[in-house]
Amino acid sequence: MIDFNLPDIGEGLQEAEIVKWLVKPGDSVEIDQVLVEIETDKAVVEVPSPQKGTIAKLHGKPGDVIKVGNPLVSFEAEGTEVSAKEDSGTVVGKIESGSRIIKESPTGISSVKSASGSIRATPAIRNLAAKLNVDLNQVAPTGPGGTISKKDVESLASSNTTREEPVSFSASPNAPEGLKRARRTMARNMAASHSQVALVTLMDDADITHWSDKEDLTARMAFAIAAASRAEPSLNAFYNHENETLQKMKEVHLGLAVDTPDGLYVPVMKNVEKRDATGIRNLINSFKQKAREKAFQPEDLKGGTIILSNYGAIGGRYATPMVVPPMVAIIGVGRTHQELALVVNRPVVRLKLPISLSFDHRAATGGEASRFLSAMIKSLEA
Amino acid sequence: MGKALSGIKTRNYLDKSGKALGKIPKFAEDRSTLKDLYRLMNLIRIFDKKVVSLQRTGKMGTFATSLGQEGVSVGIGHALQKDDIFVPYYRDQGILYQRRVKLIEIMQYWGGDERGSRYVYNREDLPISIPIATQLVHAVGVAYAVKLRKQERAVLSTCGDGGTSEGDFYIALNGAGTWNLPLVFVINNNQWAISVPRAIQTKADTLAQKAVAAGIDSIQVDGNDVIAVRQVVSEALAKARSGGGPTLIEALTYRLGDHTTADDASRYVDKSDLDKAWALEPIIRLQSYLTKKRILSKKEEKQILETCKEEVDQAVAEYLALSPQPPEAIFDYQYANMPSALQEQKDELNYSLHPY
Repeated sequence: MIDFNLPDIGEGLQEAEIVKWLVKPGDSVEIDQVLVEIETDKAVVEVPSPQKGTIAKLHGKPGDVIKVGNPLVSFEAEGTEVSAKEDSGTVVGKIESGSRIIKESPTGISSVKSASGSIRATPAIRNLAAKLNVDLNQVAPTGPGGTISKKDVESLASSNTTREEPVSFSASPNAPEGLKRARRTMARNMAASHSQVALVTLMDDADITHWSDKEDLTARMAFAIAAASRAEPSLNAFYNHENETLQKMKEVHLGLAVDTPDGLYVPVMKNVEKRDATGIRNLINSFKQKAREKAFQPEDLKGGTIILSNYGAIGGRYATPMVVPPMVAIIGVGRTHQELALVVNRPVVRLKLPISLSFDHRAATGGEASRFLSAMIKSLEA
Repeated sequence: MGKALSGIKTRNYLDKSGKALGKIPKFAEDRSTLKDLYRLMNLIRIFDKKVVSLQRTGKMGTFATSLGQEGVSVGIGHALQKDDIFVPYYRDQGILYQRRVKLIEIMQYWGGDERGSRYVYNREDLPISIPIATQLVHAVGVAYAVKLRKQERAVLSTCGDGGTSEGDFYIALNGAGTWNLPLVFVINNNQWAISVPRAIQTKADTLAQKAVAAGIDSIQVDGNDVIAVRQVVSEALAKARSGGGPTLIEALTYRLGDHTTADDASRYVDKSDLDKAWALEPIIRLQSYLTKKRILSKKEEKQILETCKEEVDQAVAEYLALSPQPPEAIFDYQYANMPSALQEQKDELNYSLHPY
């Protein structure tokens, strides 16, 4: 059988709806004989036969939508007058398949950037990224030779929203699943982080024995991070590895890692340095609700300058959280635990809050990180 | 209603039924010339239909047919002399073909292959112009050059009825008049600018009267009467060549098809208007005349159609056999010396296509 694929008969057409078939399987047709009426977003048009032959199969019934490039009609293989080459459903002429024109990188599709971390993207792609507010540092390239493609940018842009795309699953319970958007973003961000960041994690405990039961851990952490950012500004910052610049931020926009069944979301609390405990709590509650309702807006997820992950609420004491470039630091909070300590030579039980501070050693020194952590602990213990 | 201007005349030689209204022009007394005009109009109609089929099957880009307006382009093409210069718009296949532009070159143009604008047998006519009315200003420049060189040549440029609302149209008329250029403008008034009907295109009664303010001669012609188009254009060209100055010709036709393949005219054209227009179309008009005069036999007519189809099929086969241009060719046909900014873009494209 020879497939005749639906061509782009408009200007940048994606799909068309079948209105009426004028032939049926078994019919002999002449070249240019009208086969079908289809409706595009602009027009109802008649599609003529590209060849003389016998109709083997009609792909769809009236009302069905056919994607450009998918089969519309199949012809019996014999008795054809024109070349039996499969029609590729292109816009113009015979555009040969990609192999001749577009060379794949010899190592296949490269998923991470080259060791130097340099971005390979055309001006058009850079422009698109700027328009969609996508940081090219965070895009894992899939184009030839490690270049960033339009699709890479667009999918990261759309993954910044919470709209879910239906994902088709194969019948087998062990079949690989295509990653949904939030997980795909996570995968790409983490790959970018791992390939770029010179990660160091510093760990210590804050003594919170004196905290009342009503103390709000997340709010206290937010205040501690704001206080530490004032004391040591190099960690609440953006590092641009292309230009080798460090941009220290006056405002603290705190990203909160939120675990959901769909994957990881990091909504951003803007200006925590200006908020009180109630304001922070209200914001956290609204994030929780949005996470349940899958209602995060793109602007909820943008603009973070530093991240807090309260993984200890689930479990785990210390961790090596991953910095998400261009940010420089991320703070992990582990599960609180009791510890026996000696106070004036007498054993006492103290409540400890484990803190793990990861930072990008390209952008900050160990001393700066230590000062930052100390300032946090001082704030938490106050 | 706009104000009707006296002095705008409409010329035709054949009435609606194809009967001669009076004395026909001298050229139309030659039987083989008339048969040739008939053949050319049929050839263009067959060509147009075939190109639409190519577009519908994914082998051609957007295309504008001249269905119903073959009398205008065939008449103009026949009137032009070899040394004249033609500056087209985008519905002029009937002219281009007679200017020795090959059918395959016209198909290449619409198929996105810029090599189609490099006419093998015609080095002086300009390429097809998609922007509306810009070509008229180019024609002014060309005609100015002809005048400067004291050559005895005429320049002819075309546009649609929609084009007459453009600033470029008025600029061109004014320039042509001011410098008394050897220039003929022909408006192919097919009554539709995509979906905008002529009635709301302008308050003016006729498009021809727009020449009055520019101080140049104008005339309307029945565009469905190929003999009239051929004659009126010939007269205007002769006047231009002999230093008589420019003329604006408004050819009255009706667009029987879609604006382009990206259009669906059934959404806005009244069916009864279309039926009326079909009764007036140029091929039937001439055929009736030729039959009445016993110039064309049924057998000859069949033969003409067959040879037209063969010629078109041959050109299409050649077109389909062409190898495609590489993507970076989009940069190659604009400048003799490519500006550095464009060269940079070409390099970027080359790099993304061939990174290793």
